[in-house]
Amino acid sequence: MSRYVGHSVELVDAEQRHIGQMRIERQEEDLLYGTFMPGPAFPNVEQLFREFEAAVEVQALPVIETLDAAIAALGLHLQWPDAREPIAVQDVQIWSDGSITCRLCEQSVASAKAALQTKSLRQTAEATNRRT
Amino acid sequence: MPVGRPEEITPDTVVHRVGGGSVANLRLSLLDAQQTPPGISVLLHGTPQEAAAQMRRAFPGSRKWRETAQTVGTTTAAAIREAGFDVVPDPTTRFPNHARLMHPQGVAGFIDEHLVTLAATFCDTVGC
Repeated sequence: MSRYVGHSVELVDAEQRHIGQMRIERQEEDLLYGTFMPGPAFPNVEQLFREFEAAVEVQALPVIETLDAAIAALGLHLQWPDAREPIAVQDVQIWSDGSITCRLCEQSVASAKAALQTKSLRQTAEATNRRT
Repeated sequence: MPVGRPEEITPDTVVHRVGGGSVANLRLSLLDAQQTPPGISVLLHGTPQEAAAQMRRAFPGSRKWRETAQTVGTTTAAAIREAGFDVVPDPTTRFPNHARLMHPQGVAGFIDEHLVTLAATFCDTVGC
């Protein structure tokens, strides 16, 4: 299982405003799926996501290009509640049905892989120790 | 960013409209009508399945495209032009193969009478 799945993390913008909370339910490679609970700063950015959704609904792909840039400029990232290092993400999409998706940036993917490798090495070492 | 020129898309280029080639799915939305030039989004090259997968990959949380992207209408640039419309390259970051299907008369060209002719050039693939 991914180190992220099952956890709730804060969605924070570049100004450290709390946009909301993401409960991570599923991970497929770099893509995280979850449910979104709006935070105090969500009203500041909600319109962008509603416009994005409206453009997706009608397949107006050039409009999405413009909105992508505006959403990227928010500098959104995920933050563990206990203030571990932030999780760098991109392509955050928040939908009116309460779902959210985002993609881990390369550094987060590398970090997740390293954590899994460390865990695997630790398990191997423990198994070896038990045998000896 | 300005769109490209029609001659950049050769007549035999395969053109997909995700959601199918029905008149309803070829109409201009309000957002499409505000573009310069007005037009609907289509994807070039590849198979209908690849076009559907592109849409689902780009918008994985969109319930609409999880369902509607299963049908893809496919035609060629030549057939679109024979129907009185045109197609120009309009690549975006998410969709480098994006193009815009437009009419020489702009918004006024997207009337149902013309769209029926256009829709007849599309062949739908379901279960993509």
